[in-house]
Amino acid sequence: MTATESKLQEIVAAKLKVKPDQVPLDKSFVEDIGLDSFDLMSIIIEIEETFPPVSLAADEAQTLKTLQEVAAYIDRHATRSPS
Amino acid sequence: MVIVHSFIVHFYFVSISFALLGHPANYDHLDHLLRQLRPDLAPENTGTSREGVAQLFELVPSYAEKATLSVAPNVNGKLIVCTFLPDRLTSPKQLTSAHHKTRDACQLSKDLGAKIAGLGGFTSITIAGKLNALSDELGIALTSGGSLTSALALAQIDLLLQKLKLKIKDQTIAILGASGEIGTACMSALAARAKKVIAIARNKNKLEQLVGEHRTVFTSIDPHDAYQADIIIAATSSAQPLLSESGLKRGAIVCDIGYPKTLVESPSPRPDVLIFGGGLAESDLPFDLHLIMGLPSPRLIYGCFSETITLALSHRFENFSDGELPITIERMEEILALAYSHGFKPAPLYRQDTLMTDAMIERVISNW
Repeated sequence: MTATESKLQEIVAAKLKVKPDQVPLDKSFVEDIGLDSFDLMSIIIEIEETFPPVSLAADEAQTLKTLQEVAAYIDRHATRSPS
Repeated sequence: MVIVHSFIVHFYFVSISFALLGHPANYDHLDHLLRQLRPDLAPENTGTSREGVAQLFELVPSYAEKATLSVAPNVNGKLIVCTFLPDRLTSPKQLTSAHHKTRDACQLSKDLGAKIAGLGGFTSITIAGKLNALSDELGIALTSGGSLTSALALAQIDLLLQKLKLKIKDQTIAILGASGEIGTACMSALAARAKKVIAIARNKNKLEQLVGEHRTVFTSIDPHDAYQADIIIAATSSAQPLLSESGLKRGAIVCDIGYPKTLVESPSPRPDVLIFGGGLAESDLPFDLHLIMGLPSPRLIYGCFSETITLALSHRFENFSDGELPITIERMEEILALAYSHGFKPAPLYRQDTLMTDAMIERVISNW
């Protein structure tokens, strides 16, 4: 698992109120892991804040579904690793 | 000349104190708006496909409607349209874009002079957990309007039960979207009053934390569990309908606060259920937004906007419902009393475009 993937699991786990290793990396986090819309939105905002200057508003982010895909996208675009 | 010009500009410039942020509920609502307001852009006249129209709409930045909403001397507002459709927010890109459009709309409200902006419908979700931070950053009060929306929905249910000579302590009430701001407010208000509350939301752990010690409240993650209840309060921000009229039990009462709606209504209404749009107010406001808002009467207005206008009329430019602190019964009572003092009252019951008269309600009861 990459450092970005584990940071994403941490962010999502806090919303789902589960342990980070219980957050699936290979399922659609928009639809399949039980987040309500408020939490989903706050995760998206937090991702942009945690990994500047990554923007999920870019066209390339259109097809992202799983946390694994988001992590790979972040690693391609981020200039610094998560603290 | 310059002085005269300045005077005229000053004299005619209407300053606004509040802004109402909204968006079309779905594609059909957008299509209806285009036909009514901009027939030159309507799909039937331009030959543009449904997808094309939606994409064009999303390309437009958040904008203010031309008309000034004058409520009282020196209390004027604007409707700001956030150009997204909730049912198309299915990817991180679209969700992020909606977030930025709401932020831009708040900035625009501030630039136009507003001291408070009400975040209607899905716009409050798009700044999830950041309402206070954004308010501080931009220097404008923001409110989701959830306190008055919840209070109005509960008042509408109480008035209906009085009319039906039913007692709330005998009712099983399902709340869909129970982990949201409005759902949680309704849950805490009803936990002590109803026979049983079925709290339904997607995130089970979060829901169980919210329910806490309430012994009358049961939790579920299955929306269909709502069908067992006597009364259903739908307070989801789901872009997709979760329930259908055909699944309701005989005698069910549905208060649908969702925007867009949570329940799909049958084309021919069932004669044995009562379904109405909840969380709305009735008022004598001197402007008419019902076409734009997709409401059946000029006298109706959404609870979130009623809260914003109430706060503006009371010169209380504060983040009254911030989506972070739970809405308490005391806060609901406070904003409801304030709204009443400015002439708002719980809306009469409407189903789609039709006012439900006492005779219609009695006909439904005769089928129970």
